[in-house]
Amino acid sequence: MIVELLVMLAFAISGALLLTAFGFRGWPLLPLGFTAGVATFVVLAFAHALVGTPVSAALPLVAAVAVPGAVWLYRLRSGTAVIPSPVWMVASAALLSAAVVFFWHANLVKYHFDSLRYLIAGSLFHEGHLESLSGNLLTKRFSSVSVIHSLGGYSDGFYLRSLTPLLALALLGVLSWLVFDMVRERRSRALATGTAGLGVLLLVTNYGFLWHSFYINGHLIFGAMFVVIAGVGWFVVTRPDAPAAPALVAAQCVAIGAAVMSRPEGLFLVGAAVVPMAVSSRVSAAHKVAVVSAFGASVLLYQGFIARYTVILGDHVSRDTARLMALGAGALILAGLLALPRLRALVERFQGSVLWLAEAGLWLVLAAYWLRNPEPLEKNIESTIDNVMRGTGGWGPAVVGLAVLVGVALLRRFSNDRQLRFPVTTFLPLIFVIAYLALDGGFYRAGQTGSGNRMLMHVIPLAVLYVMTSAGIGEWRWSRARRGESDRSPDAARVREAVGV
Amino acid sequence: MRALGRLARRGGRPLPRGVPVILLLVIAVVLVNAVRFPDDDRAVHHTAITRADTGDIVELSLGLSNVETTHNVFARLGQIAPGAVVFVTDDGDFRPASNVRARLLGLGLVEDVEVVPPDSVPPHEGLELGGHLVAEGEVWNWPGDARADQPGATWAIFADAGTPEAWLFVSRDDADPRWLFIDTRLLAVPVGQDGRR
Repeated sequence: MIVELLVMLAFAISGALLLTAFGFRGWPLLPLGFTAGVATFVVLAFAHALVGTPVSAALPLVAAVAVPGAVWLYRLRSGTAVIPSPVWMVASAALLSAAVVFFWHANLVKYHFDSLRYLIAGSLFHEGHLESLSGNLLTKRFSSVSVIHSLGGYSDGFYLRSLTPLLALALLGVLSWLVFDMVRERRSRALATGTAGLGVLLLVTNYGFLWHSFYINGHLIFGAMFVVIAGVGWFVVTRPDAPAAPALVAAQCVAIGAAVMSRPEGLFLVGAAVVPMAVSSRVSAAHKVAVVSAFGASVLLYQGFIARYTVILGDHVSRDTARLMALGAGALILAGLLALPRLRALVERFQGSVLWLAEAGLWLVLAAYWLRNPEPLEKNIESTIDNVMRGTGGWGPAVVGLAVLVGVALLRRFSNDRQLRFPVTTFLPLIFVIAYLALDGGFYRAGQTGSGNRMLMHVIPLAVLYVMTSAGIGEWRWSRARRGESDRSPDAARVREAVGV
Repeated sequence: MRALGRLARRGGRPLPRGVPVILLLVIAVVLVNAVRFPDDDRAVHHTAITRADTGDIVELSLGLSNVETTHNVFARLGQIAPGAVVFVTDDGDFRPASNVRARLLGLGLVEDVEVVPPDSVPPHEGLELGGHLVAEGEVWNWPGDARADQPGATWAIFADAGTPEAWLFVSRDDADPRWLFIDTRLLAVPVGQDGRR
């Protein structure tokens, strides 16, 4: 338990150093810092696995504290970093420690076959024998789950008992902070408290969320990172007076890395969150370059790791890996191009059309696949209905209820709502297209541990954020009184000034 | 709804139309979720697995004394002790094989380990690998073997022809069978149809 306690404290310290280095303070420092700390560790662990010989899980953990610590010290000397209050530090450490002790003793865990395979890959990482990965483990099971739980090897377990529940709590904290802060600023404290509280209730009464909060897999990790990528990104853009915007952008960047490295399909879903930011005129140039670069670098790192160890295992780098590496490189080039004012202006000019075309294009691609081979899509729709409406997926009525709420939220608008809406509404066509790409005529099966069912967890927290934000600060699309308010808002100019990363 | 509106409006700006409506909808969904939860069939079970209880993995490593660490069981089958038996299934008999082959990004139909009844895999096409696998230590063999009643795991390897994966079948004392994947390219000798002797 001591090892686990130290690991969790290290995650929290890592994220807190990263955020306070850029001036972030306040109670969200604990949940957002913990999430950012986990993400920082994942990115550094993959970087170490790519270049490190021999590999050790302890080194990236030390680096996850040391690197943000060095940045913090550097910025402290220039007066731009902040020191959290001693009361906050003591209270956070006590709270986190109590939670670790509780979850360690409770030892609640859900696992199935895939979980064990993640742990096997993690065991290899822990013991510095990545060259012993099988091809299947390398491409499918060596992920953020493996590298995080590999730290459990320093105690007497294969996994960290408290990691997933703590990340679930951190996710609730980040989500409620985003909703509360935005609604309080736009409406009232009472409404902010109500919407944030209801958002938390909407998640915790969702049985799937509870199940994933104890499940050894990457879905909850992805869901938490997805909220940081899209939600915190939206917050920075929409709240030009957001505290320490560069800190939030830094959190976004490490979350992009962790999400990409959490699931094989992660990069496509992360792309759906990055695209609205890349084309939005509300997002500053520096912010755009940061998130698109983070995306490109993360894809390159993840696929580069797979390529390197594929060669070490004596195999040829697959065409898919090469393509995805090219995608990562392309994103890096795009990030460079977005720094050019003329090109950026051109992209921003068509921002609405780009998103509309992208979403319509996804459905068209899906329709084309369906015309060529209808069975997989029909089976996927059938299994999805089984999972969310007939109880097979273990969600109860929660997903259907949330889908209704998303439908209502779509009738409302709020500032920069595209950034939250786009990754939510493109999710379904995207995972169906991915099924065609990845399964080659196969399909997701119905069942709680079916991959299509588990992937719903990726988007549910973000969908809750979208619904509650829409409830708190949105207005009906047909309302004339405030039509165009968001367009007249001076957000963009102020954000450019505020972010300044 | 008016009360909700008054409460939400307290101390702040006027609420735009629709806020109480959507909040009531959220409350309704929360209540429906809560009423349906907890459900005996869907409760979070207290599944306390520790390292020692992760039997699928640990028992194997305990049973293979020559294998230093757990992962080697899966990745370095070349070190399995003499006497290891590889069973080759008939084509098509092991349906997940085709799914595994088809996967590109890990989204495939990875069947739960429990859903494949052991009986569906005919063990009669055994392939003795003992002479080719260099290792020391004791190995438990297929049930029916003289050592089958020893404590710990019984195991066998199944490989589908043309698939670079094998399935390691692990049966524990509590009769809780598990299937585990192995990359057969790491085997010291080929398995599957090409490897039959």
